[in-house]
Amino acid sequence: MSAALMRPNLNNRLRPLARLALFFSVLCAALPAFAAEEPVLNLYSHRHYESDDQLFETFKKKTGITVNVTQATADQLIARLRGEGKDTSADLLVTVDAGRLANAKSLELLQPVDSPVLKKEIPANLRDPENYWFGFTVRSRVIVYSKDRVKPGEVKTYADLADPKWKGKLLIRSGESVYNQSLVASLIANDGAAKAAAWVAAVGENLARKPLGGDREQVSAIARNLGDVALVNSYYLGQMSVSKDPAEREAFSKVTIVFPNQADRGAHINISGAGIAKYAKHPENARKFLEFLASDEAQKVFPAETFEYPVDLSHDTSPLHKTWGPFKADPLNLGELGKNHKAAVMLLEEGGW
Amino acid sequence: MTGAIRRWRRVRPLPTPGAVWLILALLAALLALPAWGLLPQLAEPSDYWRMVKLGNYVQDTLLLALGSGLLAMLFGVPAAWLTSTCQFPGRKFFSWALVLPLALPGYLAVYGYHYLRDQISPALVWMREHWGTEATMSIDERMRLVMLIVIFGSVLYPYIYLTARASFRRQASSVIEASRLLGQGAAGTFRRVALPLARPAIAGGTALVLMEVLNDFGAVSFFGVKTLTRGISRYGFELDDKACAVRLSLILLGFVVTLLVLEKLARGRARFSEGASHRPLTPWKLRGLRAWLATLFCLLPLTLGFLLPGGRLLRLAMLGAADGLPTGFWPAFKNTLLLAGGSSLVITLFALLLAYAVRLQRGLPGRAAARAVLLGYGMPGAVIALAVTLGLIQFSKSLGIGLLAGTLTGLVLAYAVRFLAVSYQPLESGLQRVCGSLDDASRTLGIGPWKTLWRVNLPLLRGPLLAAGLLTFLDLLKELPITLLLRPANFSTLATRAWDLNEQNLLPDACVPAVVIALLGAAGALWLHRSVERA
Repeated sequence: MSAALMRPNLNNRLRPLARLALFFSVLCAALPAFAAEEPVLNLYSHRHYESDDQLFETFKKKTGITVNVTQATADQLIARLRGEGKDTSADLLVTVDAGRLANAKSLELLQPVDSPVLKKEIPANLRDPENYWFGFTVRSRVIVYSKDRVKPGEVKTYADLADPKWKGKLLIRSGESVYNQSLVASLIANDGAAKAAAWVAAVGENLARKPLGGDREQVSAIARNLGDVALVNSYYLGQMSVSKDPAEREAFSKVTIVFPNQADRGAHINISGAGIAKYAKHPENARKFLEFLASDEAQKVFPAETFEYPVDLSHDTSPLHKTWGPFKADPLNLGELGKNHKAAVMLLEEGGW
Repeated sequence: MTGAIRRWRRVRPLPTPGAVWLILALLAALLALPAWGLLPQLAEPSDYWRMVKLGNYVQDTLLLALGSGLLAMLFGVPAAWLTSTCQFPGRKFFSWALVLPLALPGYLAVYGYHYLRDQISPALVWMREHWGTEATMSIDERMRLVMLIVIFGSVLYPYIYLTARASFRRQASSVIEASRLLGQGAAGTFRRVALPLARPAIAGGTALVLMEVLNDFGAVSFFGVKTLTRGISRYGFELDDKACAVRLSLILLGFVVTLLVLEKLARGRARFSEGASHRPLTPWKLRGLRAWLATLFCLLPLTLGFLLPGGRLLRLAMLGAADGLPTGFWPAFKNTLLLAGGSSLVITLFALLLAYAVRLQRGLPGRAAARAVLLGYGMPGAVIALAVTLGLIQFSKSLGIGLLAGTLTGLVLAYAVRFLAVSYQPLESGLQRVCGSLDDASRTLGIGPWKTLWRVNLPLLRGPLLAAGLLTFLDLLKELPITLLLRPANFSTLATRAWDLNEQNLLPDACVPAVVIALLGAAGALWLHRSVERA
């Protein structure tokens, strides 16, 4: 109603336009673009370990190359790579499981690298047969059980976890976790889809509770008597043993670790690995970095700092790992995890845990 | 001749100034960007869509949102009433302390509740021994939802507390006095007079609470509760099935639109402007048991939403900082202040221009813009991040310019899509409430619209402007999903630092940036509260 009383004023209509233009040009100028002159390497990385920063420093000292890191989950990074296409700034995609690297390869986001060093240092089952990606650390998915309530020898294999005797006693994180997906992918590769599906269903029947929290939470839950047996990645146990949180150290002391399937194919392992982005702007720097990660100098950092195993298990230097003794790893080529990944996700989705 | 022109001017509405169209166009572009990124995905086939247990997702989402909203109202409205109209021990303290939970976002509060979740274990063990595994499992599942509702309700109630309190103290105060003179007691006045008057404010606050709940994916993941937002992040990012995530997003967006419509209905046509003079209320003096009950009542949400989780965070952080601050703390601190400060400034300025433009353009475009602004806030951050990235890629490609995604520009744009509503709402209501018809008067006197904004509205809007800027800043300080996804290389904020450290299972270390967020947030919340009270 009152608007009808107003009088247009041409001068005043133009001035705000100028003001707006000024405002937005300042806004645009204030948003900096990234310019780099020194040699760089841009990582898209799912790893978040403080000790990786030391490795970047060492690498810079040796080569003068500065490592920049964009952190997110592997899937987010892959989505971003897909979206960015040729315009990506990523040189190297770093993940904490082989399945995602195989997935990135099949989406044509990676390029192969021909490096005699990498072929020599990294065992064949821990790298892509066509050299699209390479593992640089190893982790195993192990069983832990309560020292108080489970007798040694009661559980020895992944298949044992499906035994009805563990009904209401099994603790496991959600099947949404890539670690469980990769384990199921390895079951599909080794035992076939039907057996894997039966395993997923039986494990669902044995759960002590609806899945909650990460791997460490399962170990803590054993200590709190919520269940007796759990699945956990090996390095989490190492991290719990030196946790700043006394409750975690206490929980760690209450469980025994079992490397599964030692009498047959060996324990399921996975890698943290990397592949060079298809549209990398610095592929040469990326290759140098991969070779550096495979070197003895870097390999001995992992067991000491993150409790991951080196790619050559016999070169392990961790005192904690020594107390667990050597273990036999499933020799399955980890590329198989990628092939069966989707089937594994579907099984877990149907399984509902 | 001149008389004819004058008459013509009187009957025809003023043409809309050109700048208004520019501002509305900018808004349209900002909102079109994510749609441009997302909608093409709808045509794509989805692998997982047929497997999605949609009923469960919808059920958990609705239970969580409604439960949290209800609890936040039960905490927020009576607390606002008690502290603004009654006298009881600790009233002064509570009137400011009750805003403190604003400092703790849900995903950080769960760090603080981590141990409480563990401490119910003996009860679960007892139940398992007496009632069996099956029963215990289903009780456990329901308890998680209840715990989440309690956490959200007690962390988010300040949104309602603040709006309801402002209403009780301002719009309603003279009416409350009148009701009192007519012989109504505290309870009667509350029920019959203050509550109906505060309805628009309460509806607005509750809408904010519900949107916050719908945005969260950190806390729900922590408790293993599957909400739609969790599903979107799972299918969209973990399983890279964008088509499926977009479908879930649209369902979620449907809820948000319903919510906004309901809020509008709850608000009705009610529009109250402040009386020319308002005197502070003479409070009801509560005595004896009633007074202490009031104290206890106010203590409850404060404890659940701040003291308890905050205290836990602090204790953990002291463990985490025992041998020095975690690495990367100071850069993250600096980045947080610069990014949140700069972005909130930009967003608030735009919100001001927009709110004023909407006031000038009272036709359909203006009204549509006023509603559209709110949509962004209802979309979960993760979806906005993805949508803006995809949209920016399309945009950069079509213009043939360098890539904007993965830069601070992309980040700020995504922030703007999501948080424009946060600065817009106080400014819109401020314009309505504080300025009333003063700017109309100014323009009747021949002052142009932008001069009027500068000389009439702006001085009046100091309070709402400060509130808008601070609210946005507080939200950006805590923002996680967008920042996590769109931050450039080597760029961390306190929130992403806390997340990264917790992902590494270094909870005590993660609590160090978490506590700093909480402290900055608490300071901001108190300042906000003070300025709202003074305005």
